Amino acid sequence: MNLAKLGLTALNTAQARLTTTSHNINNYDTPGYIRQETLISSAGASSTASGFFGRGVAVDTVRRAYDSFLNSQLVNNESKGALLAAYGGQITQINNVLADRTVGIGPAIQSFFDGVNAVASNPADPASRQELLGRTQTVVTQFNELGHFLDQQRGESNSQIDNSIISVNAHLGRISALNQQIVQAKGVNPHHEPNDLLDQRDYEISQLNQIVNVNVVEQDNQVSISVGNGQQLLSQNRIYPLTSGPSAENPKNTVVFATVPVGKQGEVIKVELDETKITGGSLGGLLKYRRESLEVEQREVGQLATAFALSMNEANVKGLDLKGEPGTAFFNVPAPVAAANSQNVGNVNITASFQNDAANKIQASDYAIYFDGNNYTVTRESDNQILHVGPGLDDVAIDGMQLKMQGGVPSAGDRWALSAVAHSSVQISVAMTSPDQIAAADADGGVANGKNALEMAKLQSNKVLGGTKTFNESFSQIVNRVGVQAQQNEFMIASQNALTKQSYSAQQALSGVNLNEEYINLEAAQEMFMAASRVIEVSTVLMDTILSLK
Amino acid sequence: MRISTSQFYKTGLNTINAQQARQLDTFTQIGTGKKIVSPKDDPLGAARALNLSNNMGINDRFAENRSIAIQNLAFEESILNEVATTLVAIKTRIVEAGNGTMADADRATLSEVLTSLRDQVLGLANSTDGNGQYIFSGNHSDRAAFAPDTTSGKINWQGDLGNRAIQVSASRQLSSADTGYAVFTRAVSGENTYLTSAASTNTGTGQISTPNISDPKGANIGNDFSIVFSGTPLSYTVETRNADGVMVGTDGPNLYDASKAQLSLPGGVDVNFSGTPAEGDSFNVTHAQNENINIFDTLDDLASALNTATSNDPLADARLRNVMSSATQRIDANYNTVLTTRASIGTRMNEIEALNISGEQRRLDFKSEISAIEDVDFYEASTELTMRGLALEAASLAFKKIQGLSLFKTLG
Repeated sequence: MNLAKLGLTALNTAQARLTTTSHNINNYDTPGYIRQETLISSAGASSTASGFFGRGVAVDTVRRAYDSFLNSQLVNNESKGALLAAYGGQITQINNVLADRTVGIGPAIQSFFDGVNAVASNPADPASRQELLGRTQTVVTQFNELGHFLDQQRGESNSQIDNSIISVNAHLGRISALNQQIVQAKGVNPHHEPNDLLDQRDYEISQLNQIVNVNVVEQDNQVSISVGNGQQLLSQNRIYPLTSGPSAENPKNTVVFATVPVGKQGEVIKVELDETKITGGSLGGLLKYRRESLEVEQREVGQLATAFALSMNEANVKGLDLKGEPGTAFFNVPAPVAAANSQNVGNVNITASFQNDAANKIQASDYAIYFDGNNYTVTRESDNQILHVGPGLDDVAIDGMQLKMQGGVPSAGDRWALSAVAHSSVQISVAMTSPDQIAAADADGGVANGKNALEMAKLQSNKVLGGTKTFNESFSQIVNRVGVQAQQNEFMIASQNALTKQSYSAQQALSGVNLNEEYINLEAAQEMFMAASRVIEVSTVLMDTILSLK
Repeated sequence: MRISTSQFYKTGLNTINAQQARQLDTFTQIGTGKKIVSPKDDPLGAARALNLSNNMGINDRFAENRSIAIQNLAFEESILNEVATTLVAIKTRIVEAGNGTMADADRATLSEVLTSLRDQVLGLANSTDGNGQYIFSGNHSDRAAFAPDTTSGKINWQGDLGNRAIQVSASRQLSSADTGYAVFTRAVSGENTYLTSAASTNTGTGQISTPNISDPKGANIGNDFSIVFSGTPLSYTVETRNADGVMVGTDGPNLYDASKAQLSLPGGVDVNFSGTPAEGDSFNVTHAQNENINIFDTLDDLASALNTATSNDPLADARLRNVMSSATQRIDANYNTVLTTRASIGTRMNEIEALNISGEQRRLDFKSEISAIEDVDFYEASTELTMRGLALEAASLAFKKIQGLSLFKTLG
């Protein structure tokens, strides 16, 4: 064996190790980069009469220090973390809006009742009446403000959902391109892994998981991706993009649609994704927030607004005003809304109105109405209780509402979404125009008669809401729920972060670059390089010695 | 175990961030003075603080209601005090009028004095509060409690029975006013006396006065009597009616014995009687509870009787005596009513005072409960802040130290 050649294999190997180490040093902080190692082995030996003489060293390949289990564990944890962070970002905003207990709906209702008491104690005093009318407006303003804030949050969620969908599709595009590059690279060089392309694809997948958690299957060097219940997003390197658009049931909500192939000609249809199946990523967090917090708060605040306004209206109507006229309403209360599903085939419209004694019957729920061809079924969504089954809906009374059908012909499978109070907080307004209209007197009349106002004032301590809560208790329950949700989310983030940290260090222990280690690798490779050079130098000296023999 | 260099930096950064966030939390608590900066810090506490402050607000409102009630009652009390003084003056005048030495002209002068006293009482009965609201007219505080009838000139009650209740505590509503009807036209409930009067059409000289309950358990106590004279020899029949005016018995005719100073009415009542009534004359002895004792009617009748000449006219003299007896009894009943009403006002004000004390105590309880839930303990918090500062400094220092140990730095 040629000594110079032997030196050369070592020189080449040292060069390869230096390259890999330098690459690691270069990328120690590159997102998604996985440490690479040069795999070397002995080049074997040549058989001679004197024995087996080594042929030096050979570079086998460059390998990623990668473990798919550690990697997917980290990706999953990060995906769950992204869900919690997105949810937290939203719930914190409501939490902060409710932070100051001395302002907002609760205190406004309290000062309204202060005003009622002042009128009851001095019914003929025009200043007390004027003040109560002013406080009536304050209560309405507070309801409107919180209602608008919640509506705004809904709008924000909608546009964030739109943006998420755009990002998801962009990631799918890049993953698909990387699929192709990896297949090509493997085609050219089938015995080695295109490490950096794989890193990039893994990184794209992890980024996609930060938006929505997906299932990944690898086959023939390509990954396929599906979401939720198994809807394909990327299959055989064809992209089935997600889209967003208004919900058929409630056009105010933007929902996510999957593109689903039908037939063999490549036709596709859009199918609404079951959002409860999206359990990770920021999109999952947004949807969860909207479903479990925003809409719940909106209905609870709406129930409070409606029950409060209706009960004050009911009370004022029972009395006589300063002029001895029968009392009229304090507030304009928006009627319930029954929206026909945009996919209905029939054309029946349903309307609803509150009954006269609705205040303590109203629930913080939406209702689903379904026509099966013969009967209408009304289901309360908060507890999935069926409240009515029958061939018609006219004069059906549920939870303080009276339903009415407006002409048209229904078709089996038609649906309506009945929203009792979700929009109330925004739309409620003051009906009373003059302080004289406050009906402080009972049926006996008289300007110093405050008996009806005394009855009104008692409503402050009555369990009006659902017959179980006072107005203030209802408000404090709303605050409590938001606080609990925000707090719970913080705890979950803390424990999720611990998990993520753990899986991150496990993954980094294998795949991360440690510069001290690379320093030593660098030194070792440099020494190998120097030793190999020495071997070559020795072989040259030997050759020269032989050549100089005379 | 390999610690990757980026993990090292990331961990260092996260640690410092976490320490800084906790320091900021403590700082915010100190800055706001609140443990609960937003509901998530203590959801249950936040809800409880809301409920407590609502209850404290209601408690405060009752205190305000009570101060309105006190104000109303104190004002009414001062008016009734004046009414009582005026009634004493009226009673003195009636006693004067009974003086046998008075001439017609003297009585006419007294009549004028009484008319002006009546006007004084009317003015007090029609008192208005600071808002110009009549205090004795029940619910209708925009109209005078008493006003003269446009045709008869009689002064009539024209309010209603509204009691102007004020919510002074969660469970107590209290009248912050009394009606002119109760104060100036009715005997106080429990007043168990009789009132006499003679019919204005009488033609004899019969005089009736000084009714007296001889048997408090008598069968007719509470019923009214009318004594009607008839026939020769002169006899009288006593008709008894219950509170609703339904005849429940007649007694007589009994022979009238002018030498006796008293008539015994059936069922427990005696009455002084003298003089010679004519046939057809009638007298009433009514229970105070059953009678409208409108003080203005009484004073009007008295003034007009005093203004009628009686010299050498036994008939007119008897009429005057009857009116004066009747007026004395009625004004006494009115006076009793006023005193009792004042006592009742005092009781109500005492009750309010007691409620004020318990309300104030409750307010303090609410305050300290709310404070316990949401106020920060400054000593604890500032110690905490110092510790957080130290922790942050330590974390930064440690990071710097370890970071300096890179082989690329130490070995070059």
